[in-house]
Amino acid sequence: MLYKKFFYFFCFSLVMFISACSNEPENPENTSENNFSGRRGFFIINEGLFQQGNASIDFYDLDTKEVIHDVFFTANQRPLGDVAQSLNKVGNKIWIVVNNSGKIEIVKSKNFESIMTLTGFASPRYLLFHKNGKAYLSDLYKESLYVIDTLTGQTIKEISTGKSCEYLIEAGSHIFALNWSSLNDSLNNTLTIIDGLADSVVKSVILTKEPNSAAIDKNGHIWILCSGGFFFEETPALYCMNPQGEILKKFEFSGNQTYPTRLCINPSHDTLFYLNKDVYRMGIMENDLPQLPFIQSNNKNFYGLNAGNFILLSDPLDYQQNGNVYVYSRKGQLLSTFQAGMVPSGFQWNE
Amino acid sequence: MSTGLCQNSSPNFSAYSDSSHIYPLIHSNLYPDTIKLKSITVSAKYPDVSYFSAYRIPKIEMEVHEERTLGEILQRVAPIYLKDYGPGNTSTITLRGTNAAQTQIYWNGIPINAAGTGQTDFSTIPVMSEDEILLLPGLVSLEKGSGGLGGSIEINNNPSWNDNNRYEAKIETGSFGYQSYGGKAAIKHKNLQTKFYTRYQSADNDFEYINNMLAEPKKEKRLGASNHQWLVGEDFYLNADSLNAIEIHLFTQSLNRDIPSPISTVQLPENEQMKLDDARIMASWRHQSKNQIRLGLKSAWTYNFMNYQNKLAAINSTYTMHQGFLIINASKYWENNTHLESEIRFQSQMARTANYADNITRNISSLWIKLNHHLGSFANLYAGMRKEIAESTSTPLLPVIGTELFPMATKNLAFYLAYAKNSRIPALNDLYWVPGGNPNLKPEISHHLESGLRFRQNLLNRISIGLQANAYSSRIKDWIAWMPDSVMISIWEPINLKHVKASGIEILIDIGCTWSKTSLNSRLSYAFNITNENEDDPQGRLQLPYTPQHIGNFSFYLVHRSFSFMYSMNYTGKRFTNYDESHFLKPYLLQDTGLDYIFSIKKLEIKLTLKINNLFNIQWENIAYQPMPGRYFHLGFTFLLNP
Repeated sequence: MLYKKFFYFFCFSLVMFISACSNEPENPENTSENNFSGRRGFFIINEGLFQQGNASIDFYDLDTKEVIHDVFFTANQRPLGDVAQSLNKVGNKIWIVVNNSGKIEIVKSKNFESIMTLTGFASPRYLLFHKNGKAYLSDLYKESLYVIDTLTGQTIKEISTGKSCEYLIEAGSHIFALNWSSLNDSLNNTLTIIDGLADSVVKSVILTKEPNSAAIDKNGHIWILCSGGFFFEETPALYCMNPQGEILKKFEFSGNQTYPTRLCINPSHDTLFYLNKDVYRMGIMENDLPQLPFIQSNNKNFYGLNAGNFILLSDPLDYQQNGNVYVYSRKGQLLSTFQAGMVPSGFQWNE
Repeated sequence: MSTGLCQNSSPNFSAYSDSSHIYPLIHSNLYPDTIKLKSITVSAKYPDVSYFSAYRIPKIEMEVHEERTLGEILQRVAPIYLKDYGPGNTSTITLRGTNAAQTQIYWNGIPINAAGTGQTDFSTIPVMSEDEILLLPGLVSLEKGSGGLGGSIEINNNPSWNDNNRYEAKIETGSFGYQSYGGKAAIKHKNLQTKFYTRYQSADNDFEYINNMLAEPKKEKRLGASNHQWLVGEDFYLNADSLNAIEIHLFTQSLNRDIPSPISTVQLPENEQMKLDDARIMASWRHQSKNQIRLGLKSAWTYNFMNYQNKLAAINSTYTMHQGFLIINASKYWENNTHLESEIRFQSQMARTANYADNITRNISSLWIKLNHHLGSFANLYAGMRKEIAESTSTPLLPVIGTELFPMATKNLAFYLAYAKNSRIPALNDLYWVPGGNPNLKPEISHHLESGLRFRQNLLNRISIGLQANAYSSRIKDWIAWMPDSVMISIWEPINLKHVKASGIEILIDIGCTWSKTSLNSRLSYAFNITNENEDDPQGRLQLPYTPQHIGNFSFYLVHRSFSFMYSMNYTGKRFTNYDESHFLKPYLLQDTGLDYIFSIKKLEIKLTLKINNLFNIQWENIAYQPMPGRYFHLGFTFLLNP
């Protein structure tokens, strides 16, 4: 009798535990196919949290005000990866650099279906597409640039730069590579200029610590923003250079503990924008840095900035939840706000 | 399967044991596997003072799973969630919805949380079957010290005066390159006893898992996840005379591990490595005066060294911590069933790391007073107060007040209700880390309200049934969270940001029975927890990440003559991995089984053990993208000599 009771008790416990285990999907799935062809809007790069594998790409439709979340997962039924760093739209393809996954995902721009995954990189950061069917890729943990055949996805060669490279920008036949990282105690206050035809280093130019972003204006001048260092070691500065790498102007920031980032330029290439807690705007012909912000942060943590036909700003909030995206007019009026994914950090217009 | 025989006290000295020794004896009644401890002798002079909702980890669990870490054992039997980065790798716990720094760990009464992070890596805490492990969730942790907003865990080494000398050697091997070699000796001479133990463990942890991150999911092998660890410990117990006792505990260990990357990241085997060295020594003296006053003096020193290397990122970081402790306690018992206890603790922390601007020294003082009064056999009233001062930071006065009611004269059934306020002073990294450390942080403050019941009934001297149920509610304010700096978003700094509330229930049922040469023990536990941020927050109704709402355990041990059979299940519910509940990890049900056979050759007892873990080979994760092993096996040989 007692044996039976224990047997019933055991069976009851077993059923209770097993019934508690439902086969729920790991993440919410949206299996409907998206089509972004001809839609007026922009993609949002949600960086995600380091080592948590929750990077994603969202799309915002300017006409319908619709936000389509996690378009990569929807198209491919797998997560994008760990820390989406940058995104480039080239023709009918989109290249997504997934930094901490050490890979580049190439997808169809119309629906984000995967075409190819390029792997074997240590910590890829930014891509720059060149005319001759090749792309340059910077890598935080490499003292060189990868040169990739955009047709096959194969790495053709590596250009030794002697320092880790970050943001890349093309000026004439030169590639400007910003040496932002102090990896292995290397200097992080320089710009490496590479001949885009010969794929060789032309020269290195000393700037201010941590050159983090760059833009090219309508005159072909290159603007480079330096934040001054992680520990505020130097005064942050904005440089204006010619394509040969000669410094034409230097603007120094005033005030303690300023940390300007995310330099970008408007579509007519005559007005610069950058973040320094607030958003600042500066005409390329001006002789001083702006003193007053163009858009005040008002306790928002502005993190990503894009100055297209609209000013796009992202706010990762506390980095523990999905962030917000703010769409401003070119006059600085807030037009709309919506929720994006984890740590929204960058934008790409669907042009 | 050997029987737990370690919780004993000398007949002379039992009355002088300090609180960490007396209270658990009360709770030993909760578990059938400890009912066998007939040799326990405790003076009846002192009233039964309970720890309200304390859980004592069953001795049988520690014996059967001795090769596992404290975290893995707790996960099997207690209402905790183990945030586990994989076998041999970092693991922390979530207790009643709190974070890892809000659970305090005490080794023989000495706090051993890492002073830098405030957390404890449970993978570095070995378990010996002789240990006594108590889980004190919620407000009862205030008894041992502040900071345990979720609770605390006690690891105590105790003498076993009624045991004969014994020597044990153990060899284990298993899947994924697992090897373990250990030895123990317990030697007694008159009123002196010493216990020695040592162990070496290593594993490659190269198990297979399915990588769903790939365009075409496929099986991959975990690489760069190996670890090896050795440890040595020795305990000395001396009953100097009928009124004085001395204990000395020594422990040292060294652990090396490769840190595997999440599968969502680029796989760089052996790129990240960690080395941990720990050493601790504790000496205590206890004195019982003839007028019912007990005095205790405890002194300890702990040393922690950590080295972390990331070859690719060119990081080589070291952290060295020395801590000294002096604890003085005194208690007095009056014949009218009143018991007064007090304790003063001094702690000095000395940290050296390049991650702080200077070498840091911090002194912490703590005062604890407790009054306990029994109203006949019907009720027990309990009140205590703690105050802690750490340099310029101090906790407010932290009261605890509670009552237990015994409606039955036999005290088989008890109801309790208690309230406590607790506080955690910031860890050193929170204050001094460069960049970001915030010296202006305030201590976290929590309020707990808890009630529950305990019931135990023995039937026919063969069957024992136990039930424990708790309900709790707590609110924590000024929760410390690291947030991006408002000027420089890439630098994070800790701030007193969140207000969190947690509530839930815990139920524990155990049944044990014995017929001639057969015994059976079964245990079922379930915990339900809701933890979210302040309801003023628009998202405040959402469950905090990595805090499962449902946790359940079931274990079953059958011993017949020389054979033992073990079966256990652990259910862990859905865990959200972010704050807006948009991503989560699937629930899982782990099932383990094992078989022992014991035989003797003269005075040598040999035990053969076979264990099958994750019996149904399920894919599971405790941390997103950190795969855990599928089915794996352990085979062990234990040689026990009782001369």
